[in-house]
Amino acid sequence: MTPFNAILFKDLKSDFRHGGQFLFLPAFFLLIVMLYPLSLGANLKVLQTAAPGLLMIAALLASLLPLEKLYTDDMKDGTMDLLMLSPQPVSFYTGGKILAHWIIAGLPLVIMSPLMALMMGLSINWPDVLLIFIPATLLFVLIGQIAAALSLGARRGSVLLALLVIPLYIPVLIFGAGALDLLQTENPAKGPMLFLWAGLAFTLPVTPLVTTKLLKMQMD
Amino acid sequence: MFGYANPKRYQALSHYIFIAAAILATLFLSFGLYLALIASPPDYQQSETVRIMYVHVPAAWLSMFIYASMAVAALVLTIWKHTLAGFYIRAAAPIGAAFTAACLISGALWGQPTWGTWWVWDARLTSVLILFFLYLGAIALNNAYDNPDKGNQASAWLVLVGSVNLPIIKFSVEWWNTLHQPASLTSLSKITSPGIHADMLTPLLVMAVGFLCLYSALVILRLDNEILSRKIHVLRLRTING
Repeated sequence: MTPFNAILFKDLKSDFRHGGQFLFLPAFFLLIVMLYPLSLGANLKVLQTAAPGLLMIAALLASLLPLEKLYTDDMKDGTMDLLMLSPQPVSFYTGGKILAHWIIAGLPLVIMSPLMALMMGLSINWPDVLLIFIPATLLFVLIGQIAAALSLGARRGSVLLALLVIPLYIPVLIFGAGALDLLQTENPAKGPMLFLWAGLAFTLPVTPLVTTKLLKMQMD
Repeated sequence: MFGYANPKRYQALSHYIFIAAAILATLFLSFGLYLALIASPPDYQQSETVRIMYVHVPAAWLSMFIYASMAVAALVLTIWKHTLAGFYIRAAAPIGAAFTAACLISGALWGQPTWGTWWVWDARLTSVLILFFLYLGAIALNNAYDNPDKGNQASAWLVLVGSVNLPIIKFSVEWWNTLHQPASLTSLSKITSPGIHADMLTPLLVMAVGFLCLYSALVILRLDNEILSRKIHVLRLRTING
């Protein structure tokens, strides 16, 4: 088994055995979406115009939740020390972490997204919704990884993490909501969608390297 | 050039730069304020409120200049591990945040009589607000570690990530319609034939130079403070450990 797979399966298994964020996060996503009609009123016209932004905000908030615990457990129980000492490149570890994190915290949101769009009264084809939410959740996961590694050894880590990560999430939010809005008004949304995928193409190869660098710095 | 990465050699030089910068800042700011508040004509549309611009625009320029200089320092720190670069980020971030706040507040004061509102969710305003939060993040991360060196390194990475992100934020935000006017001074060719009259351009440029000198003086003071407090930290550790 390669180190990448080993980390991936370790993280997935430990999540499945300990209650499962992969079940909790979609519930959280649904809860936030449920708050909108309760606070803005059930008027479908109002909901429809606001829905693209509201859906992205709900996904953003749901992506914030798992970040804090991402590396703290591995740091506390000594897993990270062993990984740093092992002869394998640490990037395998961070790469595995990223994929596991997305399967647990991103994929459930992606699967939920067409349903949520439907509930908010958006008339968008579900493959288009998926094409927006896949890069958006991946970007949330990748940027969140960097922020989680940055604030790992810090005091008041969780508050700090939100302060660091929300400004960095802004472009994803703007392009994601922009694409949904264009699709809802029956315009071509290729522009913002390509921006999302281009952002992913840039962030995906860089993140494991940066995260590795940061973890090494934290373990010094 | 890296000879001055040694704090001692740096301080021998910076002492004189500080004196020069402080004197120049006093001269330029007092002359600039005289020009801006008394000698320059009121605008034909904005009347007297145009004078806010002489503070607002230099503060906005500096808020971006300081972030860029922090990004360079962050690069130097992560590549060459010069401690002084980390000190610089720590020293510059609060000043940068203060100039950004000054820019936002003076902009709001100008916006109320001119646009009829304190705040609009316009592209330019929003991206400056985001810049302010990036500064706050850097400051918070700097102070969040028990080991100050680690705080500096973490903050340097945040500044680097933020500097990649800042143009993306700026352009993504600019997809919305913009109320803020486009820049009047964009390149050197525009300075020779600019979009604003010389009577207004002169005080603006004098104020900008004055702000830059003020920033240099302040950042040198704060850097000296950082070096001293680090020395105290080391001395304390030495007495504890015998």
